Amino acid sequence: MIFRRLTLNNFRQFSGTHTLQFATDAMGNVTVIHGDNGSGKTTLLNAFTWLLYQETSSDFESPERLGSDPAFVELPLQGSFDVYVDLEFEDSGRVYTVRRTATVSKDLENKRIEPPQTALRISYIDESGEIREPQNPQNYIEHLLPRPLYPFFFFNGERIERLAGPGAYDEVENGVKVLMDIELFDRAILHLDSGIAKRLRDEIAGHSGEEGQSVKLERDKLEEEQTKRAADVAQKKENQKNLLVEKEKLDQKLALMPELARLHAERKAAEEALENAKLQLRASVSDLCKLVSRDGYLVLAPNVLTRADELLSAAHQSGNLPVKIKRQFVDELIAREECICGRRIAPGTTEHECVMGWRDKARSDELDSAVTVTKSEIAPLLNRRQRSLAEMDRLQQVRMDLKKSIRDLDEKRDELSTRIGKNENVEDQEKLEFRRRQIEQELGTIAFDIRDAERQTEQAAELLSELDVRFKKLQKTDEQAKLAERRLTAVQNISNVLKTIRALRHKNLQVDLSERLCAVWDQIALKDYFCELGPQYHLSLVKQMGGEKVPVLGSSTGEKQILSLAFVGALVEKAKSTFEQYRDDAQRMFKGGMYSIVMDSPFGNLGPDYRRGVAAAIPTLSPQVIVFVSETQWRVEVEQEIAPRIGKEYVLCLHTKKKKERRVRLNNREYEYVTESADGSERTQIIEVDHDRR
Amino acid sequence: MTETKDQALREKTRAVIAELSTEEQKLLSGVIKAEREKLHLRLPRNINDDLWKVLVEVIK
Repeated sequence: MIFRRLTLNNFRQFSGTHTLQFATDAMGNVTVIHGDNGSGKTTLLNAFTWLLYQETSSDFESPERLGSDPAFVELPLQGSFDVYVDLEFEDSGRVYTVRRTATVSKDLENKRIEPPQTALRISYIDESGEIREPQNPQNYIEHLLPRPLYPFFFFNGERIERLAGPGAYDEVENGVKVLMDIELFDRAILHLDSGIAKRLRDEIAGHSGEEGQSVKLERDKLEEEQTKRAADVAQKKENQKNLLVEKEKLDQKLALMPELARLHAERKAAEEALENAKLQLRASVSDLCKLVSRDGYLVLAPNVLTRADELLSAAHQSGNLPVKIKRQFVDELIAREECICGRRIAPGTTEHECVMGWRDKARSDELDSAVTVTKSEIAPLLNRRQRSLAEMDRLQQVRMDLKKSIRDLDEKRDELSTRIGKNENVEDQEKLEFRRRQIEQELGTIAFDIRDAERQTEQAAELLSELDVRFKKLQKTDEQAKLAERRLTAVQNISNVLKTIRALRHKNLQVDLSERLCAVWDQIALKDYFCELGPQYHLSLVKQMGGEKVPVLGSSTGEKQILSLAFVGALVEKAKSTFEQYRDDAQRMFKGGMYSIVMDSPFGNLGPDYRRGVAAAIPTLSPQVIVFVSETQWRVEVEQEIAPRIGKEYVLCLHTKKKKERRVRLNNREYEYVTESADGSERTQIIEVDHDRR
Repeated sequence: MTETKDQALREKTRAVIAELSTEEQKLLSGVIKAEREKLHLRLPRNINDDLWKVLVEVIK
């Protein structure tokens, strides 16, 4: 089943008509649909399951309200509009179109009426070119893609890990049995043995006198006991499954116990580091305050100091500064009224005035000392300013680093507290261990009972065979009895052949699917575990321990997601291989098929390594893969791995009432991702990414 | 890997079927076809009647 085109009409946020063409090339088999939260990725996934089975997933809110809100607002009173999803797909060379329609109407009181009834149509063009429309479309669809299979082909990647847990044992077992034709063999064997053969034996007994009736009664009694025993075993297996589910939950809790201790230790270390960082910050701030207090003025001083230096130097050069003559010496000359050259310097004379001029120029000791000190301190002050500024920068950086460290440690402590809070309410470890031991004992008892019942069943089967031999030896009174006997022999032979083929197929599946699972696991996962598929097709992880394979307890969600994805991939590949093997086989014992995978958020919360591994594996999982991703999920490693296999790519552009605009860059071009709605309605528009440029 | 195993299974299956008589082989095909028709139904209504019909048509 390869999807070609999906059309949505007024389906939830897809107001109006929107069409998506899917990638169908062998090398470009991936269709990627980008969308922000609320843009309609989950709606698209559910559009498939609603269309094919009228079912939606648990995370699809208000499934009873499928009609577009803007379309309803525009509807006149007593008006109505159609909501439909239309899909064109190819299966075994035929092209089918299937459409499911619901009707939304508005009554006179403006009330919305959306009845659950839908109309489903499927049509195809037959070999003669005529359009055929099967009368029972639901049956026809489920014939092409049986209902138990859809959880494998339409799923949310963030929840896919459940396939690897006991909670999905029935779902997985039913799905695998249907997909791989085991169910067909089981049913055929049951119907032949209990229905047809019984009817034939009754016929023979009716024509074989009293002895015939006696053998028949004996056989009926044994068969009745077998039926009761089978019901008892079925009930025990159900109990076994429930106990396994409980045990798995206990293991998860127990696995968290050491995790809890580790979280406590981590939180304690974070708290100590936080206190230490706060002390360092306080010391650093104190150092900074002291430095600013001591040298802060120097920040503003360079202009003053430079100017002072310039002024003092200029004054020296212009002679404005005192020369090296002491004023005391000039005063003695004036008092003596005689110059050192011998001239008279009486007051009022030119000579007196000249010597008095020298007196003004002569310096005092105090001034001399002050000038010398000032001049000598300017350069060291400027140097100290530089050093202080550098130290301030360093202390500021230390302060910033410490603040960041405190913020980080604070966040880490909060996160650890949240994680501890989530796990702290678990029961006492001893009680959990006690209950686990109880479960193991109960499981042991149940396993013993089942083995015992199976042994009794085998013994009863031997008795039944002996009775069958007696049936054959009965004197058949007429031709009808002889014909019934011939038919019974044929039915028994066919039943035996079916049992042999079923056993061969079962072994083939267990070995082949396990190998395929391990191959995908090795490609993606980091841990050296092995994947195993149990007798009932239950998935599990095992590891080597002392030369023995033991189950992995408490494997992570990411590991289970990978295991589940690998399982889906292995099933799809097996179905494809079977289809190709038996396509032209006249008997067509096994059918197989080509299946597409449609997945929402396939990368869940995986780390970068796992994301890259999953992204690399996705295009190889199926002949056609349709993936819905958000901007954060479509990160570097995912884009790098998937881009070469993209055949079609779309953006779900969210039109919102809010004034928000966001664009996304794809294939070297920008596309609207979130935009303000022009008409005030919340809706989604599908934009195709220009793929020719990639 | 998968193809080789499927090929081996196909050959073994053929060998097992070959041990049946021609009449029984026809009956087997009819049984498989009838079961496949109703495989998608959880409870295949009237399947025993369908199988009986195949049986009486093939083995007369």
